[in-house]
Amino acid sequence: MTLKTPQEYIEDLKQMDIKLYMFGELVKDYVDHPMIRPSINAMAMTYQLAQNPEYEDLMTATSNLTGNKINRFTHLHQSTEDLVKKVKMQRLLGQKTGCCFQRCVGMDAFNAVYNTTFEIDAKHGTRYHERFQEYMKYVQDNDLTVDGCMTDARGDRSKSPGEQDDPDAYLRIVERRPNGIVVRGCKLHQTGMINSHEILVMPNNSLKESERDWAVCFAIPVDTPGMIYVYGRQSSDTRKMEPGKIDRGNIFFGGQEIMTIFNDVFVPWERVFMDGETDFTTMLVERFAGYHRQSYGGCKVGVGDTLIGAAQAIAEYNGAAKASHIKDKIIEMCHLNETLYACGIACSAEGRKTAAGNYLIDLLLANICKQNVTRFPYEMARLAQDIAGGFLVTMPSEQDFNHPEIGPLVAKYSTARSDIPAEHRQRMLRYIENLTLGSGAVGYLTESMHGAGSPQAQRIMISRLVNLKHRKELAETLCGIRENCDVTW
Amino acid sequence: MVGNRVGVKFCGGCNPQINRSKLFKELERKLPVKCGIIRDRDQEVWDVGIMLGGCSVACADTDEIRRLARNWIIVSGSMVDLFPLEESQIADAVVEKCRLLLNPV
Repeated sequence: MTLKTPQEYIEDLKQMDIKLYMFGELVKDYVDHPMIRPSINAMAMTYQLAQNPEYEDLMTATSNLTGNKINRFTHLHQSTEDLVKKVKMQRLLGQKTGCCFQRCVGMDAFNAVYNTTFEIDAKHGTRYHERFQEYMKYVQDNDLTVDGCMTDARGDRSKSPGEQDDPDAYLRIVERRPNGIVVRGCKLHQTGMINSHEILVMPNNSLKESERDWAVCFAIPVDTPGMIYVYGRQSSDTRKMEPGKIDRGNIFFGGQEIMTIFNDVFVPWERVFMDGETDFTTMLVERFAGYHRQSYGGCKVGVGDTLIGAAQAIAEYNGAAKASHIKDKIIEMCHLNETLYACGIACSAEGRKTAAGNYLIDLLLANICKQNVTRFPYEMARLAQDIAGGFLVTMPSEQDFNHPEIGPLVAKYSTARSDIPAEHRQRMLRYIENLTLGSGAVGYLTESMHGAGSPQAQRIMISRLVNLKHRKELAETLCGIRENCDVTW
Repeated sequence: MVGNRVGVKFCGGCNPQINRSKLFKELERKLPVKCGIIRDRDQEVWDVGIMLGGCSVACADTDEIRRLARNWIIVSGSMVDLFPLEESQIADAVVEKCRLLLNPV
């Protein structure tokens, strides 16, 4: 079986026995918990769309390992066409869910680990790549969701992992046994962690030769003994506990971020894909980050599409859609959104084959993509709030709209255009609120800022990847400081 | 020797991460045989083609170009046949690969 249904996926989660804490309590039966279920629904959509012939071309691919049809979220990209389709698929999911749908990190981790392990083996004579191929076949054949797990707790940012007062600030190997390793540490901001079947852990950053114990990459099931999960709060998250659904804004979907603690967890050797090869940590981190920065040119664009739609809708409901400044603001939102998409497509189209055979995006353009993503959604959110008006943040609650006595009065004075029901305006304003300052803003804004690396991380990569010497020589040639060998006439 | 026609195919050079001209001159000096220039409309197939791509995209690496030589060594930015090297190491790596292709063991 290579394509699960959303029902099968949700059933898998129900079989998991995990240690999850939220609001200080151990959570039982988390799948149906009202605060968690929207994020599971978002992940389920990645399974749902793959079943639909209308979306098959984007949502599925042919495995290079088995020849089977698989969900593209488990695919190792085999061409620049695959890289482009990945971005388009992510845009589609962003449009369908209006949130972070969480499955991208795993896909990006697969591709980075696949080509890095190949090159580790070529240099060191290890056999990680073969192991990883077997793991990938397992993932693909069972259509698993895997959390790509990179960001450590990190402790004192001025110190490297080996210099930390607490060596567990970065996840590390604490014991090596004949049959495997034991690891300890904590990974933060783990998107969709408890909505996943498996975890693929990678080192957080480049490591020194003396930091071998931190140079570790491995995979484990989410319900491995020793794993502890603590659910991250989001703004307005407890609205999901309220009786109605309208005030949630996005009534179906949402994101999820988990503090993930590895409390002396055992990993068998067959699931270890890096142990001590510090000289390959930079490659793994940069490639994973590159793929994930590419992803944002798809997913946030799709969510941005819904925000543009919401801005247009609320302008119409308000009776303001014909005003030239409103039209111009929506044009600006489109300009910003499509620019992000253009970056996602560009870094894909300029991708290349790796020695392992799968394709890698153009790293410079992927970093440009993400650098823009750290800014443009914020401006789009500002424009959407401008268009929506102040009622966005002063509107009464759903319960007030439903009150038998004051409800009709609340609805009467919440109506803008008389042919548009008050409830439509209420729902659309809540959707914009969700995305621009509610729980959806976690994924649309702050994740755009910090996900796949904070802004400065991309600036460092840009400075490394741009050939400034060449550009300087261009200018020196044109102004006559250097000889111009091209002008021979 | 199986054949000794060695040629270089340049990419368009729009965004070079390496100095292709300098690399070409170094190859001309170090290669065991004379090095020509591969052009799109060449009729005779070269024995070894060295693609000089200025960046990782290697946009000149197409099926049509590949047909112009029996064997290829691909330089794409600071990589030779997809393995990264320092720019200063590229010429020697290419020369060594070329020797092996011209005189297979």
